Amino acid sequence: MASGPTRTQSYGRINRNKPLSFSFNGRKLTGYTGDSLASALLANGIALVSRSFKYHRPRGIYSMGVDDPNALVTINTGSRTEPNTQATVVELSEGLTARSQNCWPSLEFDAMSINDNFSRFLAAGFYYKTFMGPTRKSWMFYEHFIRKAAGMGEATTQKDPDLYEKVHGFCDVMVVGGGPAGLAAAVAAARTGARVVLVEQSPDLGGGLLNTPANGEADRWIAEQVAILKAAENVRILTRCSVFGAYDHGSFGLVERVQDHVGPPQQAVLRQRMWIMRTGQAILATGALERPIVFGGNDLPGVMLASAARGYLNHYGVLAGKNIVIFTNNDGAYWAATELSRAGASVMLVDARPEAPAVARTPAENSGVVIQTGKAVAKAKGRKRVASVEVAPFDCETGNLCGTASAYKCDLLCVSGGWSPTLHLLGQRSSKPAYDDALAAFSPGAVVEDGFHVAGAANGKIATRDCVIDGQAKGLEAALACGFTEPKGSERLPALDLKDGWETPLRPVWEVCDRHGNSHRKAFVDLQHDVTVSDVALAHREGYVSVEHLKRYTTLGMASDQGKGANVIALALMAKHRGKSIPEVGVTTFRPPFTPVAAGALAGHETGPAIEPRRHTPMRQWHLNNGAEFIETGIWDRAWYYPKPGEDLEAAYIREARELRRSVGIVDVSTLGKIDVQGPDAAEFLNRIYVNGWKTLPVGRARYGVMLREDGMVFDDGTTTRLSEHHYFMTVTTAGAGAVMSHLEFLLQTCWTDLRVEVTSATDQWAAVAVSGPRARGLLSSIDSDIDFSNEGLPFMGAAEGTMAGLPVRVIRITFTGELGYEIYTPAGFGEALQEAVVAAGSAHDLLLCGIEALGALRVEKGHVAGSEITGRTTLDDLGLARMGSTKKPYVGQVLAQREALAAPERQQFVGLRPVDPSAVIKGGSILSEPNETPQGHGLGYVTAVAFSPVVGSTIGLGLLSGGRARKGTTVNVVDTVDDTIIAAHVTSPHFYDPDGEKARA
Amino acid sequence: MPDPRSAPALVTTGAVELAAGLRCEENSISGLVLVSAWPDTADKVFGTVGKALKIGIPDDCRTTAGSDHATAFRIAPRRLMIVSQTPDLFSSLKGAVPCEDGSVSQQDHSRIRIRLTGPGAAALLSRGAPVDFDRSVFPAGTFAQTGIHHMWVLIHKIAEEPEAYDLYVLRSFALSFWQWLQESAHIATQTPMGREALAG
Repeated sequence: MASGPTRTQSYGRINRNKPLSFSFNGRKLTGYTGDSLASALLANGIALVSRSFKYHRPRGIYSMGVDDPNALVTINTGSRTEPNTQATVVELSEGLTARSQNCWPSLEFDAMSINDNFSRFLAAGFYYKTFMGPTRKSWMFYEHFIRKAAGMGEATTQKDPDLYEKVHGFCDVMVVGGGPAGLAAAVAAARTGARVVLVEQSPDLGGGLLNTPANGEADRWIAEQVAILKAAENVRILTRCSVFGAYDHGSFGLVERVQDHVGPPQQAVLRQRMWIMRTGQAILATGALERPIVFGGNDLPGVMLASAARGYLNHYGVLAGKNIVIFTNNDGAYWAATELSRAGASVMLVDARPEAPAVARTPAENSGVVIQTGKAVAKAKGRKRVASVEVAPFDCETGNLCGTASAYKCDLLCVSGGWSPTLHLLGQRSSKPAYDDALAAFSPGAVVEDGFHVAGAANGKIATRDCVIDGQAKGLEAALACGFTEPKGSERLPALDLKDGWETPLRPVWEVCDRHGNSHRKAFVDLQHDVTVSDVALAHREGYVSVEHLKRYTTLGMASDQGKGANVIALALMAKHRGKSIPEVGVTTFRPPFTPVAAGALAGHETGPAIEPRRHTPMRQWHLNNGAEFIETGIWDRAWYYPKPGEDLEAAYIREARELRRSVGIVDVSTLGKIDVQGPDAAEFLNRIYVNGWKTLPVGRARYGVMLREDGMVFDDGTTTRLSEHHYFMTVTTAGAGAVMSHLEFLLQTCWTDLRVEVTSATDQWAAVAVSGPRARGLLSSIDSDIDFSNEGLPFMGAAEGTMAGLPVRVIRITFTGELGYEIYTPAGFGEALQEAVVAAGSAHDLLLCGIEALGALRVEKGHVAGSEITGRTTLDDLGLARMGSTKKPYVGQVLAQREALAAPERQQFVGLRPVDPSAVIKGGSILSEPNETPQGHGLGYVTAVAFSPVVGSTIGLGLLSGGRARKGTTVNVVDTVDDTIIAAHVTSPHFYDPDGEKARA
Repeated sequence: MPDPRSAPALVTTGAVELAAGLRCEENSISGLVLVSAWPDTADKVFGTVGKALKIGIPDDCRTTAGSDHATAFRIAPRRLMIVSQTPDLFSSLKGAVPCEDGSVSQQDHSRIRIRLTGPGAAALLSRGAPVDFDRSVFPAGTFAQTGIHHMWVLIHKIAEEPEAYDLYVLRSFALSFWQWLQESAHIATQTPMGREALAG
């Protein structure tokens, strides 16, 4: 049963018992399980598949793998729409929907194909030269139209419904490629006991062997190897998996297509899996890619690589043409000619070489192939599919035609310009490939990066037998390098010998020029980006002679195929222009990915809310149960405010802030960074990292401290409590905790190795609540405790350890709100119990729950510096803390803090801002400027924090203002450039509330 | 003194089956301390700790040593993490190690321990941890400190058959870590192989 006009009755490895329905451009078609989208299209007689990138020329299917430059289609619909997909790598599935892209109104009649008529004016870089004026912004205008005229498919803006995951894998030996060399290598490595991972990008193992006639010696050999590997417990086989990147220390990026071949699912499924594979040794058995020859009209649908025509026949049972011309410069195409002829096609083989080898010629001729040597295809002709070719005598030495052309009708033109080893993964590392004259291609070279082995066709081996032998050797070599030994008595499996080697050397033919050495105007080097031979010449004329510049000027080698077939040809053409050899011209740098990778696979399931982990305080559930709204502050989720019915954020925080100053409030401050500092030299250590002195701090007392960075800028602040002679409890800002911990560890491990001090993060060990307000003492004293909360028993900046409500606690009398306040710490597991105990006792003291919005408002009123002022660009003096800096001892940052520029009077200094009109609202981030002036640039400074102050009765702000302290009593403009509003504000002290600190000491 | 509450993530969940036969649940910690020595006192401090707890101290930072009541993890050349079922662990070690020799920090509430048991445990962990869990290089008794989804985790393999791991994570990350385990197991099993996926 055949599923289309070109499907043979018996060839191929498809499952003819499982037909599949699919659609292309709305047309319902049928294929078979085992088909690729490309093979199914060919089987249905479809040659025209897409339009080219720039000139909208008709394009067909050119190869049968990841190197195809032409057959880009958009598959699936809706949220699963996937543009720019190579039809040659899409497995056919039931219900698959595919459509052409970059064409309008239809593939057959594309209006933009008019571009092709103006191609001589649209050469490489034309838009850079043409669309740059008359103004600097003109490009922005033109870009829209240029992108509409040239481009590829359109991505969906809908959320990807499918799932992705990332997996870390480990092995001793990874074999990349499941062809003859890869299979042989995997078997050889596995027999030593090494853990082997075999990766194959196709659905089936076999590689190029699957393009040879089915049910023969090749299939039997594949089955034997696969059986051995599947039976081995130390082997993992990953098919439908591409190794796209080679990274440091033997690690590789792989993407496994878990579900794509099943067809559009009904629900979210695991679509792709990214592997981060760490290997001991890697064997690149990645094969070789056939490259084309450039001639006029070489991009027409119906022009195809010879290996592809052979593969479509033997793998998919599709005879892509009935009247076939094959143009070659090597022996390999003879096998394709022979098999295509045997399958029923009329085949003429044009060999550029003067002579054809008997070993290849004889079977071809016996199969009915007509062979013409010493000739070349000058031009392919046809409108939307090749219809005829011009063949003329050819001089391999000059690359020019040298006689009269004859025309031959055909419906398929196959091309083989030789084979280029697939060395992209090796090239991504530091290994530079070397040019191999015999192959007319780059091969691995003498020096291969440690941990890499190259086997088979990738190593320049042509015959299957040589590939297998090379694979066996490299498999064993890699395993031995991992420390394994060859098992005694093991015999290497006999090599598969398909007698498909080359007898006559290849003759390099890159381009077919006319008898005068001129190139055809429509001769394409890079089909995917419509880069012609004349574009390469233009790049040379304009001085872009480096291959890297050539690539960027012409876009050659970019996009989904990454110029896999074009790169060596482009190098050869540039070498010709420069009068140098190909190795002298160089080779472009290969970069990941080898094949396109969906962004979803790179992200895994780290998307949306799961993009990063969240940290939660021990009282999170309590806050949820008691009606808190939460806010993300950095990595922490914190209780934001506790709304009463009908309250929004503003109403709630203003109430909370106002009521706390009247009675008492409780705030969860468990997020504070906490560091346990121990050791005989702890006091000396603190003396060095803080700007103020610490050696005189008594046990049971706390002190506020500020740290500088080495460059003299303020780094962080907080309170440190002396618990015992050599034990301190340091708190740092929530946001700065990680950086401070790293800073302290760095200093101890690299600078002050003589200090006997240990710093240990205790952030997660302790839950903490701040109880603050005039009634705080009364509240805490009412809770069963062995701590004396009186002013004498626990004075301001005093600390005590004991129990409260049966819970172990540390209490530090300190405040962030400016009121009488206590921070109470308890081991995190008791956090909820502590919160409940305080709240239970609080009902008699008018306790209210406060979120961090109210806490922030209270700190603005009080004028404490916080993260919005400690920006890394402010000094002690900028923040009004200069007096804290000790003159009696050295500390980190002390020297560089004395730089002249850091003492300049015009530096931005910490100030308060109060609107002249109390009803006006100061907005955070506003620019500060002179009164009645529009700010220039960054103005005089900016507003760092704002809040509505119940004490002041208006919004108030904190800011950093140039020469701010000298401006107190003046007014400035507060300019909100977002809402385009300007208000006047008095410059004040930042301390709006209790500037002398009497409340805190009460 | 009340019992320590579980971290928020684990208040209501109890044991959960993530995939066929693969279960996770909190395994509460009674005592956990970090002990550090100064550069010239490591041998002395480690000897003291070992003697006090009647356990050996590992020579490397991969293998654990211990007894039924205490396990020592050498988490850095001069640092030990001691986990014990005895609640007085901190006080006993604090008394044994003077500050002239080293430091002892109480951390029993700072970490949550999750026990992951069953087939596919390593496969699930490999979704996040860049650790080779193959039995030949990560046998029972081995531990690794690593990161999963940007979260610190100490993975301790406690048994081979059935495969079982204790996962120590910081308490504030416990909910996110728990969610990561569940989400990763869910995704890994949404394949043609279904719940078998993690077995491979």
